[in-house]
Amino acid sequence: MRQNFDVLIVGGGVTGAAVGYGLAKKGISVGVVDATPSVDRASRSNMGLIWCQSKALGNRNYVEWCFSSSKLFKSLASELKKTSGIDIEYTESGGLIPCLGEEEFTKRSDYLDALRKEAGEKGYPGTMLTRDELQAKLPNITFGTNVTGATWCAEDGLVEPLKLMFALRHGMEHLGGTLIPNTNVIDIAKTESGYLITTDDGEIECTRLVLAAGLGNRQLAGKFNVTVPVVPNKGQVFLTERVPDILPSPLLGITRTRGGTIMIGFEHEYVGTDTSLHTEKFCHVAKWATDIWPALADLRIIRTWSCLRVWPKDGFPIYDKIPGHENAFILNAHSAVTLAAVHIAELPDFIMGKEICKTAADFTLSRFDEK
Amino acid sequence: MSTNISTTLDTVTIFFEGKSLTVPADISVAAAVLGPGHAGHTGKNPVMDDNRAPVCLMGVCFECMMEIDGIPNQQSCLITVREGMKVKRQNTLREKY
Repeated sequence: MRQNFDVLIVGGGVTGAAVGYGLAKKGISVGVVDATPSVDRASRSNMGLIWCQSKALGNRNYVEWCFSSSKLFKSLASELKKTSGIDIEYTESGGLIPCLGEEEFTKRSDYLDALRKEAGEKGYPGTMLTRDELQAKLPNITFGTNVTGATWCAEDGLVEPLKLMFALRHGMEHLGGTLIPNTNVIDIAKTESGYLITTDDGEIECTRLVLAAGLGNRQLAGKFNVTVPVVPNKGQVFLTERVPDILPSPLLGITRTRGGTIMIGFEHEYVGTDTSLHTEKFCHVAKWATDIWPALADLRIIRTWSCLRVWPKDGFPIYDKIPGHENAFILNAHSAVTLAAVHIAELPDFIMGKEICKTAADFTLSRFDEK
Repeated sequence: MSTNISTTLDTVTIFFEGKSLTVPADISVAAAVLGPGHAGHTGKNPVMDDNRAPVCLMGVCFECMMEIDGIPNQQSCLITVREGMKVKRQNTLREKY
């Protein structure tokens, strides 16, 4: 039997599911076809940070895009509880970047100043905390002697990334969308009225097609002879035994999960699709983490793993039509969790034919041609 | 029908919460305290503060943490009993780290 949708999204990770959810909310007939086993994906090497601060100097639109998404998470979390029955464990935790040594403190401070200058009248919510102020914020943690302070931003937050993904998928189904799991897209053909998708489990017809398959977009876009400048970004993390709620705000790279474990890791590696674990990387990260917070050394490591994340070559998202196609789209984002809320709010209209909002208008595919 | 294994194997005597237990010489601490000396739990979950006991017995679940010979936070399923070993429930909920 051939299924038929107004919109078919290829890829049911956080990005694909967010757009599917947003479309289903508008009452549009939407299907999401997903090839990846439900937990073997980028979301699992993610700390669930909704992270806005101290990044993207020089790209004010991206800064605004992130902050606007963060502001939507509180209402999204309660909405998803109703539509999916899943608590995405959102907390308005704020976020901290600890600084080791005076030089790092000055560097962080200068960076925030530059972001604030760039923001102009709109202002920038990040600030520096002295060591004493940091200590007052996290009174149950004894910081290393070389910790000089931290950056702080109240608008950063935390979610459980896999729960976010499942909530978006279930919510979309609850709102009338269709999830087609464990199904591989084999071929895509243009028809008179839209697209015919051949999968390993039958054919699907759609009027509009969205490629939101993360790294898989490279192969899928190949069907259109389009190159998507996205590469694998390897993350390696480790997890400690459970501790009480002593870390209400994440230190970038050190996050306590709701279950009590502490997830540690911050490296980005570009090594193709190699996911092997490297002890020396762990040692480097562990040294840094225990310099910040010496008591971590007494905690047991209970698991380590690595995963490939999605990295558009300049780090910023891609939302664009496939060249020559009015109704086929490419979506790729590294910060799919942070941006999920704004993706739900803004991308469905874009998929349905409206112009994308001004803040996101520069995140085109063609920006990579110019270089 | 029951078999008294202690008559067929070497044994050691350990102390669980001060009470002596004679157990086979080559078993894990977790296995030893799950036997005759087990009294409902071997520790507390640091988040929920509820009682916990060994589950997986292969070093994965981290539910069997105990204090062994004065050192807290030991995975009792991965440590073999020794003569005279002093084993305590891990009930310490630290506030500061």
